[in-house]
Amino acid sequence: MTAPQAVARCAKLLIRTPQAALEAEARAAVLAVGFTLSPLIEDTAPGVCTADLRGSPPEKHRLLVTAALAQLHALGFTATAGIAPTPLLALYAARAVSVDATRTKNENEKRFEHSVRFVTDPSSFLAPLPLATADPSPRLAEVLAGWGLRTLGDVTALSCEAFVRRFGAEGLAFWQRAAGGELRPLHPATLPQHFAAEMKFEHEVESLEPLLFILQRFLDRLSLELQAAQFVAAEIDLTLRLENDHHYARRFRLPEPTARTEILFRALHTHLESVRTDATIVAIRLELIPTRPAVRQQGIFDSGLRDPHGFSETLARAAALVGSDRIGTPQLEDTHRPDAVKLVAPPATVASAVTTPVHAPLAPPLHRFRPRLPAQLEIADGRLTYLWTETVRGEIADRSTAYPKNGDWWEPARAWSREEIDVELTHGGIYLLVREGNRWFLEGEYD
Amino acid sequence: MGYVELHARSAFSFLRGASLPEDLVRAAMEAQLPAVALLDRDGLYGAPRFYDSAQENGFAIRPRVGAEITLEDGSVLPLLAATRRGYQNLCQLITEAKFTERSPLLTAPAHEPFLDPHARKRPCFARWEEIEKFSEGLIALTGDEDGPVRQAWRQQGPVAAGAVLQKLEGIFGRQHLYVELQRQRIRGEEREIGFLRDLAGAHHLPLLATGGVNYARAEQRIVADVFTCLRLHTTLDAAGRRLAINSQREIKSAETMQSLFADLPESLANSVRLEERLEFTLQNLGYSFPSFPVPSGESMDSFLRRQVEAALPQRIREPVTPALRTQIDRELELISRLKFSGYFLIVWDICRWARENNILVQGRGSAANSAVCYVLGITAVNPVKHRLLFDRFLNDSRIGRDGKPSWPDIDLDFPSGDRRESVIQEVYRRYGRNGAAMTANVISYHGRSATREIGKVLGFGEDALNRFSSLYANGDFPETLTLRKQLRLSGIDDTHPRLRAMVTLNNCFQRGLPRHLGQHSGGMVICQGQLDKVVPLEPATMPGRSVCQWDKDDCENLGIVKIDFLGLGMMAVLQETIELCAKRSTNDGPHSLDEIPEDDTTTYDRICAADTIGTFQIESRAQMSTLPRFKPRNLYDLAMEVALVRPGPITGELVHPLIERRNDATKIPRYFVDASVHEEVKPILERTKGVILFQEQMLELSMVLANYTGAQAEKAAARDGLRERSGQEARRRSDRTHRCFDQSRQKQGRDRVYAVFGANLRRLRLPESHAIGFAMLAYFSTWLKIYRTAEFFASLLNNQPMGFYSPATLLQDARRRHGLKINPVCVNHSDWVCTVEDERTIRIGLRYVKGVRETAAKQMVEVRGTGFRSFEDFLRRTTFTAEERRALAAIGALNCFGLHRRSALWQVEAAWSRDESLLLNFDETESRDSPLPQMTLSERLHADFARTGLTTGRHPMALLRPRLVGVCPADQLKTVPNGARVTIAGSVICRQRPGTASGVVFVSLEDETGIANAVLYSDFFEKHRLTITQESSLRITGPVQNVSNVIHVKAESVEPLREDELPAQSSHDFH
Repeated sequence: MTAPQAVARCAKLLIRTPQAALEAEARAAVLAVGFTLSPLIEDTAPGVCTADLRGSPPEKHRLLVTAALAQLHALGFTATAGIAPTPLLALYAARAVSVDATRTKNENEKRFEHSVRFVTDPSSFLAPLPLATADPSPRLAEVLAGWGLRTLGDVTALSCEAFVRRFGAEGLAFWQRAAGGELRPLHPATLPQHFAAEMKFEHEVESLEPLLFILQRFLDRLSLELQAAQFVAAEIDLTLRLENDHHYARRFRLPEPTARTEILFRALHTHLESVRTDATIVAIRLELIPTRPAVRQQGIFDSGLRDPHGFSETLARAAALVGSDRIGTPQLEDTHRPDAVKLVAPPATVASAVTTPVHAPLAPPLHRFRPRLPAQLEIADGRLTYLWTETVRGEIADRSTAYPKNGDWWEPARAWSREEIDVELTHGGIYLLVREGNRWFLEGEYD
Repeated sequence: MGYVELHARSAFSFLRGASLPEDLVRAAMEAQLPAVALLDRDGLYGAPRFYDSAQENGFAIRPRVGAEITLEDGSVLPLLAATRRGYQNLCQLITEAKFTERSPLLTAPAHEPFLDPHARKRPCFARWEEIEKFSEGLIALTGDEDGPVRQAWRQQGPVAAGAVLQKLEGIFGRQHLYVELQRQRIRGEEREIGFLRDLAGAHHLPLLATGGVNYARAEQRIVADVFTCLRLHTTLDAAGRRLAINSQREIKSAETMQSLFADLPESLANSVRLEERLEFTLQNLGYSFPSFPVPSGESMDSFLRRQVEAALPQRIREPVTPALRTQIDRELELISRLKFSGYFLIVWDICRWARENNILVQGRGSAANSAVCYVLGITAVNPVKHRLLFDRFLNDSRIGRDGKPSWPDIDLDFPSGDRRESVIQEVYRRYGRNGAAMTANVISYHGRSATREIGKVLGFGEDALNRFSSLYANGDFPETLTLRKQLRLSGIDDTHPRLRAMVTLNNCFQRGLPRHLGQHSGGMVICQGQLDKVVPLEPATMPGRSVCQWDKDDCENLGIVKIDFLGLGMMAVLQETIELCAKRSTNDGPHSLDEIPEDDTTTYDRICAADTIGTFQIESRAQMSTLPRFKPRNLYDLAMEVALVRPGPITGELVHPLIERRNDATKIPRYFVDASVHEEVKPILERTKGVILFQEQMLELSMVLANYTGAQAEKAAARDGLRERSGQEARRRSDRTHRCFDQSRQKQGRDRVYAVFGANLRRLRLPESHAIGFAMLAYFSTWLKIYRTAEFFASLLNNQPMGFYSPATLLQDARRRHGLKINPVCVNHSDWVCTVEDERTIRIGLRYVKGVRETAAKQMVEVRGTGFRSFEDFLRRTTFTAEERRALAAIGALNCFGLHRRSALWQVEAAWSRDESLLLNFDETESRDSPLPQMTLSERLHADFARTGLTTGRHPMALLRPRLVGVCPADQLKTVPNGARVTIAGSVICRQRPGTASGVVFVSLEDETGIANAVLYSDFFEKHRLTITQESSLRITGPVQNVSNVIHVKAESVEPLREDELPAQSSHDFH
């Protein structure tokens, strides 16, 4: 069924576009909750976590799992669970629970027993399940549909040998999946080392309340992850991206490292109450900088950076501290936008020799003023004659032609347009002067 | 100081320039430039439109011709045509470079990684020796940043740049080489300009300032950026510095250029001097149509007359009437005077060759007005018998835009497919690869393709774009959603930050920016001598064909004769039916269309009963609704019927008056408003009861009432839109003709015509000759459908897709109304094509099984002999793939081996080759008994529709009938009183929203008894738009409207018919 057909049949159908960040958030939440069930869990698929419960008494399984579902519910996710002798059966059982049917009951009873399915008799459980449960390839699904097979029971009613004869290894694997699979070791998921969450808002946020709501969700999950990894948060790194393409970023150290949600939330709440941004918020990123509860992390600048043998180790530690995307060598971006840079991870190997450039650089190096200096200009007879800034001023002796530049026109928030002029002052110095609309800036001085 | 722009690219540089040629002309006029040279990349694609636009504007801009030629190293050399010889060399250079294979070692240039030097459609990648070979008459510029000199300077330094310049100087000489300078206010360009200035000085070469124009106006730079992304297969976000840094490549005025080049004034002065040296314009193409070789002692005129006289007795088969003799003499005299005898002989010879090679041919269009064409067998209509107007075809006062007598237009219809291709190949054989070519068809950005590509470049998700595309209904159903609304429904909200860019770009692209060059469906141009000296040729995508770089209108405007070799599906059906009839055991033919009796009563009875599904022209819903009221009883009636159900007559409200006057003798035709012209008008309009139905009538009326000449009448007709043209071209042409006509119109006469016919004058009409030609095909096809049902339907199925209905609907009609038995696909009986088993039975061919290869099917037929003895025998001797075997099993084609469909499916999956190692591990004696249950009837239907798109059994709706309480079958509608409320249901086979019906939508629902039609008014349609356009089966309720047994249900409610048993059928959606 195509989307328009679906809309034709259900006028109120809302079509959402996938949001990778939200999906990653959901996946991380499921894993974080999974670690509360067992130290041995598997990140089976996006949104699917398999936990090995054999270490806990069977009579507590239901209690544990319903508690996990409640935690996920508190994080804003609707989840189901299956408890079965094999990982595959457990997955089928979880999938067999009708989310719609259980949602109302769960809501009413504030329990999650209806979202858990126990499998005690695999054969009778499997028989009525639809074929899609066992994930046939599209080609196999088409063939089996042509055969009139609808359920896993229909498949296992055929001999495995006949099936393999027709579909080879793929057929064998599918038949076995249809029969519930076998006990297999889980691929253990590793505990997270990086505790961050981020979200782009569908609608821009203007007030504190929705922001706090999201932060609470983030903290619930991150706190679970910290605890599972036996960390506490030493610092909080908060970044708000604003509609005008500016960022508000703040990192603050907690008085006492902790993994308690309410304390972390209070710290953020207190801080944000005093924050006023000059534009609405379009995205948020929260990162908790972890530390061991008993051992304080030393500052990065205390480590022996001058030891070349320890360089890579230091880099790794630094990456863990600031995030792997925040470490590297600044490099100009592939855009006409002036001064756009990105961080490039330090190369693991020695860089190849650079070929000699055919032509010398266009201009002497430019010392950029950071931030750039707002400038005022005196114009006489259409000529620029005098320049004022906070720190630089003087009569203009000569100037270059104006170089118009613009780009990113396709996105209003990022679009830029400017005109660059190189000016030479009578008392010396050649500067880069920029006009953006009616405003002038001095962006740097040439060597 | 003056300035001339001598380096501009248009959008015909395909994904490089961003403006149409006419936009460049307008911008140049605003900038008050006296001349502009258009240098599109690797071709002269935009030159005719550029010239045409300049001509329309009274040559306020002198249109100069040139091209940018891509060299083997990826650099680009701009060349200007100074003389006609230079122009011919440019055309031949492009042609040779495009046709000559490049070295296998040649790779794409680094900055254009997607240019494949070995693709059929590719840039020139010209070699230096080719440049040298064709350099005479050309002037070279060193080029912009892509030019060979600047490329060498950038990549290897000044010495290399000097060497390249030396090479250019060696080829073109100092007199024909300019060092080109551009200032686009980009950092670093001064260093290059300084170098180029010094280099020019050292070589004593002149400097030339150009704008390197990429678009007419600065605001069109965004289109150029999008083109860059499309060309480099990237997005705007990822394109980085490959996008333009600013918007400085627009057309600039002389003043602006003077301020830019104040330090180099000679470079501007040189632009004026160089332009003065450019003698060539497209007015001096030097094209001439080929002569026809005649025996010694004969001229082409005398030879043509001799052929006409020789053919006359065979063609007329009765004494030649004085009227026909007079007409022939008049035509021959005119043809001779206009020097068109060679043209007629060439067309005649092609028709003769086709007939000798057993290929049906029939001229269409205004050629049918010519007695000479009729006698020579080019057309099938006797124009004297049908009183057709010769002036519509040819008159001596008709002058083309090139100032010479305008060529007549002869279009030839051939059976579509291989037969037509053989005619095209024969033309290539006769005139050589460089003497003939297909005309081009410029594919422009429109509709969903434009929005999709823009969306991709803007970074919209593939899923959102898929949703956007799927909101377009199938076929050419008119799009009534606004762009914003459609985007919203696709999940792209109004607040999306890139929506504005999307809308702006969409508006630019939808103006018809060219996307790529295709080939016209059948138009060919031929030339005396070498066509590649007139227009560059290039390989077409289809092997064995070449295509010229201009489309049919460009060719026509420049006086190049085009002959249309059109493929007509119905011609192929008729030819195949005749061939099948020759195999009939009764040997009762017909063996040719001539043997089909004229004016057969039963045939016209069936036409009046609208039993016309599958026939030519009169099968549409609208035609079928009119036939029972119009009641055609002879060929001319049928021609009127064909001409009547068209946008012009419908919007001109001619349909009802004509039907009324035909059916009621008491209704007196109103020939006029002004009684004084009654006698003058009556002979012209008598046959159509006072209704102006045909183009010829319009011309005659103009000539009689306003004393127009034939040419003036034609101009008036063109101006008033009597010729059917589409979209922008129609508007362009209409405006232009209007202006021409204004200058010479005879106001009094015009007013008289308008006073008589009022607004009706502006309606589109079909030429009478064309309508009669079509009516003949409509009659033949209906006769064959009635009397040779099996042969006709087998042929019809073998030539799909064509016509109005899907094969499924055609089969239902054949079964239901003509008692034809249709046997399903069977590997022991079916051929690749559908076959006739006896007079009442056909067998569906393997061509209908989706996914089955023609080669495998034909191999099977070849080895089958008397049939396959068993399933194993079938497997052993055929080469079908697993998927093909699966398809055959699913539709029951293997049931002949005692299997049911499911058991066949079970068997084919196990039917691995004995060489398969896996098979060795299995017991060979596995039971052949399938554990799978037999398919139910519903499952069989689904399998049939999924795999073949049709069923040979009953219509799926028959299965639902017991559950459809209160639903009226289609064949029972005639018993429902007019105005009574009724519910109809069925598979949607057609959604139609004619532009003539004020937004009304017609939906045809098919059930097991026939077809029911529903009318959906505009508001109702918009309210239920998605249900109507997206659901494959519908249930519609409303009052019955029965007018003369033409029945519609006026929809008051509509809902999807959601039944699992009902397979989705394909629907024909259009307007």
